[in-house]
Amino acid sequence: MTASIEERLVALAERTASIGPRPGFYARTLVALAEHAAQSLRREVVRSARLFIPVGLALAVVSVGLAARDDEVSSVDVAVAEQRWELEW
Amino acid sequence: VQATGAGLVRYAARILGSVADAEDAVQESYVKAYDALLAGHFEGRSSLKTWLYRIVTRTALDHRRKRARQERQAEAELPRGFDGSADADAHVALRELEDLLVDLPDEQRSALLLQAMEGFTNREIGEILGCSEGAVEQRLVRARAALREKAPE
Repeated sequence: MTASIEERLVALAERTASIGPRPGFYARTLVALAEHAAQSLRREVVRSARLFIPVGLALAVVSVGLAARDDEVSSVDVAVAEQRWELEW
Repeated sequence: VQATGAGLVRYAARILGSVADAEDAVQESYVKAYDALLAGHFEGRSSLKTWLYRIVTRTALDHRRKRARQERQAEAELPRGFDGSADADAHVALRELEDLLVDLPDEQRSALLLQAMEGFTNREIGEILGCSEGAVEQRLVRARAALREKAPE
């Protein structure tokens, strides 16, 4: 072996300097990134839906309950008001 | 991708000894980098370039370990055909580099490649490999000593 390690490394660095990606690599990589981004978005939507659908349903049930209770109160109020109006009349 | 792809593929090819394997490793690295950017894991303490080299180093070394396991299972080296965009001598040189560094531990191999082939400073290599400059210096000294022992000058 005549060349030193440093000389061999320098020579190998020069000889491998022309190595690069094959044609189409950038396009393939961008497609892979776009597919990955779309998959991530889908996963995120499904994950969010799993969290928010039960919470939304619970809120809807509570809202209906509250609305029904408010409705009851207002019916009594109306009846009282009608009675008072009749008596006054 | 276009600004950094060529250099990263060349570096990964020097680790893996194959352009096709290097492209796979770099593509996977970009996906990991995309996820890390979205999750806010890139804090800007190092440059984007050294951060990408860190991801590629880990991914390429993982690919190398997986390939070694597969080759051991098959009890024969997988045939790797001519796969490149570069000239034939570059591929011969890639195999010579592979043969020269084959016995080095991963951390010494990557430190030596980053310094001797990619031109990074010891501080940058420390950022890429996640260790101190002193540790980088130690790895480089040990790598060169092992190469001298293997191939006396």
